[in-house]
Amino acid sequence: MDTKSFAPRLRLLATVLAAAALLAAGCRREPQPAGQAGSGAPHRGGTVVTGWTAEPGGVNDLILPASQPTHEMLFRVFLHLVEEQSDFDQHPPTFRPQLARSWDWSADHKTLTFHLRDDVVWSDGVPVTADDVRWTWQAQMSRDVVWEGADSKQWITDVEAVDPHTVRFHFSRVYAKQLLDANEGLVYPKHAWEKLPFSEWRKSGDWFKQHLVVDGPFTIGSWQPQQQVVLQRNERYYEKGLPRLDRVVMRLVPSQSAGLTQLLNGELDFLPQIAPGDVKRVQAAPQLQLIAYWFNVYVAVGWNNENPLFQGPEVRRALTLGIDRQKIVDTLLGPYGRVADSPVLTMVWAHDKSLKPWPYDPAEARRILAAKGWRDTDGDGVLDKGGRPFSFELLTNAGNQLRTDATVMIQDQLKQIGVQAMPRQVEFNTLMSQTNEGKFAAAILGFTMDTSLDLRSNFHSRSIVEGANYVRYRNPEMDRLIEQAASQPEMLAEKPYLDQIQQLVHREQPVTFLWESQRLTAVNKKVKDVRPTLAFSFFNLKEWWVEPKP
Amino acid sequence: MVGRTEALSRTLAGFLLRRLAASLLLLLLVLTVLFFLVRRVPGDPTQFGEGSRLTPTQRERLQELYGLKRPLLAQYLDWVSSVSLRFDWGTSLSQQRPVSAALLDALPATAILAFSGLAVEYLLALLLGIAAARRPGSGLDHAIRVGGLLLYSLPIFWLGLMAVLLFAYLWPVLPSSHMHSVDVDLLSPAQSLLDLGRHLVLPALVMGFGVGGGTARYVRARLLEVLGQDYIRTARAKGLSERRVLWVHALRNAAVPIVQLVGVTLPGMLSGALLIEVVFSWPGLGLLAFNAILARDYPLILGATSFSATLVILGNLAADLAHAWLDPVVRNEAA
Amino acid sequence: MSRRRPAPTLLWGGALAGLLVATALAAPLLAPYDPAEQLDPPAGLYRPPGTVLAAVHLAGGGWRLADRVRRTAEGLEIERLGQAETLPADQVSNLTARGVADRRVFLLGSDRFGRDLASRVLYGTRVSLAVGLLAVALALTLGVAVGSAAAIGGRLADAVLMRGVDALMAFPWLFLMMALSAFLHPGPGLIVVILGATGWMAISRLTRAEILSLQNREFILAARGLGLSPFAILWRHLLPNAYTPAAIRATLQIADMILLEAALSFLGLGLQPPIPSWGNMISEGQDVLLQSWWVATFPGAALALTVIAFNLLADGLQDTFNPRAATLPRL
Repeated sequence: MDTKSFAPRLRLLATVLAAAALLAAGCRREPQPAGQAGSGAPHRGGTVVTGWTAEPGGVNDLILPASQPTHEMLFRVFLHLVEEQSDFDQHPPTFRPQLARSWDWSADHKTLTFHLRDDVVWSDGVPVTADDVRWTWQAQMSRDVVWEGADSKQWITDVEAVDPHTVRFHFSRVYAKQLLDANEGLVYPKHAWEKLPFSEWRKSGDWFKQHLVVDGPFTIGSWQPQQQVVLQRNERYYEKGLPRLDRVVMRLVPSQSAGLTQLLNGELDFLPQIAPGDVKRVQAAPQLQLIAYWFNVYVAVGWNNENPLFQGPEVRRALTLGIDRQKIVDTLLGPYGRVADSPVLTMVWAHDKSLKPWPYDPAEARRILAAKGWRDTDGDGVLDKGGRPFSFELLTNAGNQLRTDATVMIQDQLKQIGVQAMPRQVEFNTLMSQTNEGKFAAAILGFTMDTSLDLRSNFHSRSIVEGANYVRYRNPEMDRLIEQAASQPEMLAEKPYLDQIQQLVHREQPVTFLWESQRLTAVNKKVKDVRPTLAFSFFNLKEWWVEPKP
Repeated sequence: MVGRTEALSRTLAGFLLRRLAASLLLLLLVLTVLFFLVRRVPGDPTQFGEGSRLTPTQRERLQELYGLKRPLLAQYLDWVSSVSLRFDWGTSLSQQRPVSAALLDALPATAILAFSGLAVEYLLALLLGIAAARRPGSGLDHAIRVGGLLLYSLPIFWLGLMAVLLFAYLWPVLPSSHMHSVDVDLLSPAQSLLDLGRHLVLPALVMGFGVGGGTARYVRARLLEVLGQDYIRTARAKGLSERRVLWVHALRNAAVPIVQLVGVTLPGMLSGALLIEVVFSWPGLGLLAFNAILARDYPLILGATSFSATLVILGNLAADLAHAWLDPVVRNEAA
Repeated sequence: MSRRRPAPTLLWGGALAGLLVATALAAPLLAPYDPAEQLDPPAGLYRPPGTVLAAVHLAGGGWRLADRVRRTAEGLEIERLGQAETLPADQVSNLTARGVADRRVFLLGSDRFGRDLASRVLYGTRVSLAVGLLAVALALTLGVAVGSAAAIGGRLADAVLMRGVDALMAFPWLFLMMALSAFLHPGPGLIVVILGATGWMAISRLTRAEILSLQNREFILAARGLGLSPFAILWRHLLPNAYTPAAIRATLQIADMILLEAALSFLGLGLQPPIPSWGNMISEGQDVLLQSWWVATFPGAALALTVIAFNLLADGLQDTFNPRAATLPRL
């Protein structure tokens, strides 16, 4: 019952993804088999069939809810000004030219000028110009379009088309993620789409399909609803010799496992994600290859910090000590997971490597709880204080097997220290509204982290009302650190503050981190040069190729 | 003569209208319940999407655009009137296109599947039913009666899975799922039709066989009833051949209840099609509804449910008309 | 109604249904293992029918399932997941002179958690029958209530109720149930209610027809003459004489309810795991149909057998007590 929705751009706000964990992403620089190396020169031509559990929503993502298949497809069909790279293990991510051949800053760093290539055309032959960039920004900001990502443009005061190949972004302030924000969102074809007024956009998904022109390596050849979408080489794509494949079929499969059956059968060539339990089946098939890479989600138990049970860092630390996280990881994820201990994921450059996860120490946990006045006075095996037992409901969203299994293990482990956690599965929307309103005690949640490393939404006290601080963590020191980090002019300068934030989180345990996990992609070995990244299975789709049939 | 026909058709029209009115009333009732149920579910459609990054301000703006800020009753009346007057079920949240467009996209696939399934079902039912009715009480008759019962007791979705296991995996002669091959866009129209045919074989057979056993028993029972009638005895007494009695006289008279059966079994047919579509990834209304539920696309769920109900109502109406056309007696009954 | 010799289908169906009810009641005695037990998931998952594994009980708690064990001087040599490993004697608590004292027999194979499929299928009988019988009980109650109300409630009530029943019978319930399920996330109780609420229409029609046919019989007229209230007449005289067709129809409905529950669960919208519902099991098996055919096959066969049993039973009842009634095929 998982809906497979996930916003795959790297530049994500930290959102709680209660259901969609283990869905996207990976990191290119991680030690991992970097796809299948080509034997000999890349061949041009051929078809690759890929399997997806959900259908792309349409061709205009400004009006669509975030969904991974939609973005996988659209990011190969439309271009950005620049392309964010996945090299964030040692330093903040860098950018490569795409529509823009270069970019420069004004002296006060409040104006960013992009110099566009003059050889990029839409698939109908019309050149891609600065007008497209400016018009796209207007669409992104329109009150009738209501683009989900509009927040990223809040400091941009104007986008100016200086000449057909020069576009200038004006900012109201100087901060580290200006380039990231300017680049957010795909550039759409003004000449083809401006005929439809913004007020008509929502509900006109079909219109955009019928008026599609593209500038990316692929275009949409055919779309059979509920069956498949066929991506086809865009013959007018500006990079010579790319893409190599003639066609990429995005075929719908009823489930990951059913997809795997089709992969083993030879009906599919590529499956973006398989379950840890299916690894053996892939490894047993000589024609298949497994690609594993770390995923940008951590899963944690969120304690409602306003609940009397969970007030005070000591109690929350005791609960962390009372959960055998290594065993949970070993049992549920095996080699494809590790214990998490920081909101800044281990694979990211800003992760504080001096942090050591709290160990499993039930004796210490019991000692802390006793010191806090929790004793089992009535001998029922559950601690109590002032007549109130240490007992609460541990929520998770129905349909997520991994997390359901985790609640069962946590219940068992906490019982050893006299704490009664009662697992309960609720529907995803119910979980979201309960956590939003703070009407819960504890819940297993997934948190997606992006490369902007903005922890405001998760831990700033202001985010209790309008952000993702569902656990209602309130600490003036944390607020100060987050604001200081955000006001640095460049990301590298944020590191000392990010370290302090991580240490504070480690001490205070507003949540108990459970695991980080890897994403597992399976691909037929006949497909060469497959290099999925944290954000996209299709990241270098234009470079994929297949051996010609003998 | 003319006057009589007119009177009859008036009473028939009255009968059909009453039935139609009851069905529409029920449809309205069901939609009302569903509408308020949807609104009762925590979170409104703008909270849709788990990676949703909408800010509170944006959410409010969307609620405004979707008309969710108005009083519930006003929303309800608006929705009912747009559904009933303009066949407008609103906008699919997961695709931002009219729900009606998504429904119309899915309709042909369901129609193809349902008609093929129906054809298989009645072919099977007539063959077996007639074979059994020719010698009532014989071994063959018993075998067909019990066999028919066993056949329609098999869960249709399980039958589908077993068919896939046998004919797509173990002995791979037919495709296991979908309506077309991966390379359908490269095929000529004729090849494409052939491709569709190949993909249709398993689902249509499963659907036909899954319900055909019961229909065969029904056909047999109706035939035997007719064969016991006086006019058949008269025909036999006149020395008409047994074959002629069976194929011409008996079958023609048994046709009425059999056509009636199509109407009665329509809802079951559509439910069966839903399961078959899910098992075979067949891109029809059932799969659409199923996926809408997975995606929590509430307008689409409401649309798919009410659209399929409407189809059944129309199907019943058609069956009633056909019934009346075949059998004048019904007009008298209706009067 | 004429009582005649029971039809052979009645005997067969009755015997099968009785067997199933007995199985459901005795499931804990019959099932070789706990249906939810996952001894050593990695080593036990997706084992084909007939697999026998040695169950090694570790002294510190926990289990190892081994394909082969051999007692050696140091302790126990086990072959697990294709790897050989030696456990010291003091780590194994069920050690014997030749190996270990326990084993696991997956008669019908195991599922993705290494749970015993045979045990799950046996327990599934309980779930299916419980849901089916309860839903039918509810449907029977509703059907008799509505049918009686239509029959004795006057012309207007009759017209309204029967038009409603007509309309309800022509409704694609699976779609509606799917939607309801998606919005409500019902537990087992509500599933029974939803099923029962969709299955009473035919029963109400039969009840009404039967009561109307009795209305002018002498004993009813006599009761009326005595000044008995309509409800008293209904309760004491009409219903006791009118229940047979409704009861037969209700038997027929058991199979339908069981099928519907399985279909909903198969779609993931019925009973939620870990309840061992056959529909859930078939759905889990669909994903691994090619590699582990047994996961979908056996629960489906059990489901088919149950439906056959109740259909035979109902058919036999029909033939025996009411041979001329029309039987309509249903989903």
